[in-house]
Amino acid sequence: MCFLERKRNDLVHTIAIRRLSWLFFCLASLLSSQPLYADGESVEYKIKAGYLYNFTKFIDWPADNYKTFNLCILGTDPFGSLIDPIEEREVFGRPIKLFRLNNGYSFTPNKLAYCHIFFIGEPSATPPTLHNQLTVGESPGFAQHGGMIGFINQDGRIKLQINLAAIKQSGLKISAKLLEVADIIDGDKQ
Amino acid sequence: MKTNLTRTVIYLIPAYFYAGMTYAETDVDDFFAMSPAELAAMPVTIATGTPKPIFQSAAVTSVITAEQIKGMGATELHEVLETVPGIHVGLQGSSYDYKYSVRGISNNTNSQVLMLLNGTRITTPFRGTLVAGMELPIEAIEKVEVIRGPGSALYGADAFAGVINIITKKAKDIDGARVGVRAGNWDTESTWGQYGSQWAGWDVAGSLQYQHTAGDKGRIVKADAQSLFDSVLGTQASLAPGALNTRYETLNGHLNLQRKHWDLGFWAFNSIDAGTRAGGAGALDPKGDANTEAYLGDVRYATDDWADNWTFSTHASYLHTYYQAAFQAFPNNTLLPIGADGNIKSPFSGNPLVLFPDGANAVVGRTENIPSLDLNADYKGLQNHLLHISTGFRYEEIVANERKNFGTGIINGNQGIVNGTLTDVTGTPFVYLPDTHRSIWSAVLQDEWQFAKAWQLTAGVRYDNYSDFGGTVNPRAALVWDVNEQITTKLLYGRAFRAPNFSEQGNQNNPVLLGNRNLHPETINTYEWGLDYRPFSSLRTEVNVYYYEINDLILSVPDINQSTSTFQNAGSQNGYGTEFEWHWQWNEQWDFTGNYAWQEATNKVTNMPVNGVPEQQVYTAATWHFLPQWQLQSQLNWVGGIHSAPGDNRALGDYQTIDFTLRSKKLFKHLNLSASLRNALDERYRTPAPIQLPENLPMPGRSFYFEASVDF
Repeated sequence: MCFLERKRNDLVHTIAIRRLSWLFFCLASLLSSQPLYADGESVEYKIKAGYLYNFTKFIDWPADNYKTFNLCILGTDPFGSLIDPIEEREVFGRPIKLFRLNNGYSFTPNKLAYCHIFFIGEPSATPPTLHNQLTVGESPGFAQHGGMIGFINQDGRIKLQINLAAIKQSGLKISAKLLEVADIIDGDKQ
Repeated sequence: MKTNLTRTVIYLIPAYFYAGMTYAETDVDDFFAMSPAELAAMPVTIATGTPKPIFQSAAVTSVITAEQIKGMGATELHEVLETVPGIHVGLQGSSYDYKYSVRGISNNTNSQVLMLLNGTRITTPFRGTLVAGMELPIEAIEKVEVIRGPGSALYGADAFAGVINIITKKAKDIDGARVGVRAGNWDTESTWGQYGSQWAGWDVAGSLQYQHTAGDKGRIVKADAQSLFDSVLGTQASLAPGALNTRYETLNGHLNLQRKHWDLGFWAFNSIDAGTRAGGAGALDPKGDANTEAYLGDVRYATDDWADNWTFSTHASYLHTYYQAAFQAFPNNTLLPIGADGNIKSPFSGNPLVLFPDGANAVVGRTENIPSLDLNADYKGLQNHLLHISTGFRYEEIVANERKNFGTGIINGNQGIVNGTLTDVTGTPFVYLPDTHRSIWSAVLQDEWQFAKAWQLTAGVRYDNYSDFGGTVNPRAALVWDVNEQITTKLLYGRAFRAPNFSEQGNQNNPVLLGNRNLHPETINTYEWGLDYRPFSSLRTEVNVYYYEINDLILSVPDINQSTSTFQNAGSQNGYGTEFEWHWQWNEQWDFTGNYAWQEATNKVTNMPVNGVPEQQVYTAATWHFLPQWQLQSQLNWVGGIHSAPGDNRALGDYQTIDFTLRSKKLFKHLNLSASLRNALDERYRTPAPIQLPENLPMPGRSFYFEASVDF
C-alpha cells in the first residue's frame, strides 16, 4: 500500500506539476504564425539540392587551400532559399558556402571565381571544362553539350546524365554510387 | 551500354514505407540525407509534393527518423514505438520483453507484429517474436518505419497487426566517425562508436554500441507466484516484496557494405547476464540470468543491366539466434505439489508435496536458424504500370535444450525432497519442445497502376506454402487519389495471416500449456480509409478510419478434466477505430507534433472489449529551437481505457508520462550534448501481467541521463 500512500501525500504537489505541464502544452498550441516549409512544387528542386549535396560526398575533390567548399549558382537561381540550409553542412570539415553569381557573370578565364561546383541556371550557356571544378546544369542536353552532370526529368523522376569524358578531363573522380543512378553520355569533350 | 540502375530492390522495400512520410520529411534536410539512388527514385510529378515513391500510400505508415528519436530522448526502441499512433507498449507473458499492440490487436508474445531489420525478418519461429532478451539500443538506427495494418501481401506471415522495419545507418548517414557516451541513474551507461566511409570502391558503415543498466529497483511487486503457494501451504519461500530484475548488458554491432549492384549487411547482438524480470514462472528470481545472441548476414544484388525495362534482384539472408537462461522457477525452500508426471500442480490439487531446499531450477535454451532466399523482378515496360514479381524460400529450425530438477522424466512426486542437481532432458521426449523445422515457399505478384493523372491503384497478392500447415493466399488493394494539392485520400483493403509458431505447435511436458500440431493460421481482413490534409504548407494532418475482423485466433483453451490448456484456433475479434495525427511547424522556433488514437476492439466469443489494450491514447510533443544549435522538447503520452479480464481485480489504471529532452548539435562544430528527464512526474503505472501473477507489473519510474558525442 506504500504506493498509494505516497501518492496521497504528494497529491497537491503532483497536481500542481501536472497542471503546469498541461499549461505548457496548451499555451504552445494556442499560438499561430507563418509557414516555414517551402511549397509543394519545390520538391523537384529539393531533389536537385539533395543531389548537389550528394555530389560533395560522392566526388573525389583534390586537396586545395580554400577554407570553404564553394557552391555557385550561376544565372537564374531556381532554388531560392530552399537550398540555403546546405550552408549548415560540411564537406570533409569545410563548411559549404553558397554564392549566387549574377546573370552577367562570364567564364572569362582570368576572372573565374573558384567554385567547387558550378550550378549553371542559364539554358544557353555552354560551360567550359574547368580544372577540378564540377559543372552541373538542368537545361536539355546539358551533358551532351559539354557539361559534366545534367539533371533530366525522366518519367517524373530526376535522373542524372553524366559526361564522363568531361569529368575525366577536369581531373575529378566520380563514385560508383552516382554512376549507378546515371546515364553515361558520350558528350562533346570541349 | 547504358547503365541505368534506377531502382533496386534495396530501395523497393523501404520505399513501401515512404508512403506515409511526415511533412517534416519534405524538409530539404531530409533530401540532403538521401542517397543518389533514393533521390533517383523520388517522384516529382505528384501535385501534393509529398514524396511518394514506388508503393505510394499503399498502407497507413509512420516514419520516425534518427533526428526525431534524438529529439524525443529515446534510448530504447520501445520508447520510439510508443509515440506511434495506435501503438501501445506492454510486456510479453513469460520473457517480459516488450510487446506492441496495434489498434487493439495484441497477444502474449508479440507474434502478430512482424519485425524487420533493413527489410529482413528478425522475428523467430519459436514464439513468432524477437529472440527473448533483445533490448535493441538505438544509436545505430537511421529510421524506424511502421505500418499499422496488414502487410502479408508483401511480407508474408505475421505482418498481421503491423510491420516494424528498423533501418540502420549506412555510410552516407554516418559520413565520418562518431563516438558517444551516455550515463544516467539506475547505473545505466552506454557508449558507442560509428564509422562511415569509402574503402576500395565500397561504401562502408560500421557501428558498435555497449549498454548496461541495473534497471529501476523501484519496480516492486508485493506478491509473486510463490506468494500463492506460501499462503496455501504455509511456507515462507517467496522473495516478494522485491524488485523486478530488469538489469541487462548488451553489445550491438552493424556492418554494411554497398557498391554498385551490391549491398552486404551483418548484424550481431549479444545480451549478457540479463535479469529475468518477473521471473521464469512469475516468482521473483534475483539470481536468474539470461544470455541472448543474434547474428544476421544479408547479401543483396540488384541490376537492371540485363534487360530493358527489367530490374532483377536477389536477397539471401541467414539469421542465427541463441538463447540460454539459468533461472529459479521457484525460490529456495519452496514446497510444491508435484504430479505423477513430475510437473508442478496447483496448490489446491492435493498432489504430494515436495520440498526444494535449493529451489525449483532450470537451465533452458534454444538455437534457431533461419536461412532465406528471395528472387525479384520488376517490369516497367507497360505504360503507367509497375509490375513486381517475386518468389522466396525460407527455412526455419529450432533445437531446444533443457536441464531441470523438476518436471516430466525427472521426478514423479514421490521424492519428498529434491536438491538442486539438474537432470539433462535435452534430446529426450521430456524436453519442452521437440527439435522442429519447416520450410516456406512464397510467390508475390503486384501491379502499381497509374490509371489516371491523380489516381493510382496498387493491387497485389502473395501465396505462402508452409510445410507444416499448408498454403495461404493474401491479397491487398490500395486506391489512392490526389484530390488536390492539399488533400490525398486513400482506400485500402488487405488480408493477412499469422502462422502458428513452434511453441504453439509443439509445447510439451509443460504444466499448463500444450501445443497442437493441427493449428492453422490466424487471419485478418482489414478495411481502411485515410485522408491526408495539408491546409497550409507548415501543417500536415492525417486521419484514418479502420475496421478489421480476425478469425481463427490461436488461444490456450482449458482441457476438460485436466490442469492443462491446449492451443486452439478458438478466438475471433473485430475492431474499429480512428487515428489522427498532426505535424505543425509553427515558426523557426517551435514545432508541434502529436496524435490521438481511439479503438474499440471486441472479443467475438465473449462479446466483451478485448483485454489489455488501451481504448485511447494521446501523444503530443512540443519542440523549442531556442538557439541555433539548441532545442528543448517536451512530450506527453497518455494511455487510457485498458480493460482487465472479467474477475481480474488487479490494479490497472490510466496513466500519463511526460519527458523533457534538452539537446545541442555541433557545438564547436563537433560536439553534441543531450540531457533527458524521463517520466518526469515519476508516474508509477502498471501494465497487465499474466494471470498467475498476483499483481499487474509496475513500469519504470523517473529517470535521467546525460549524453555527449563527438563527430570527426
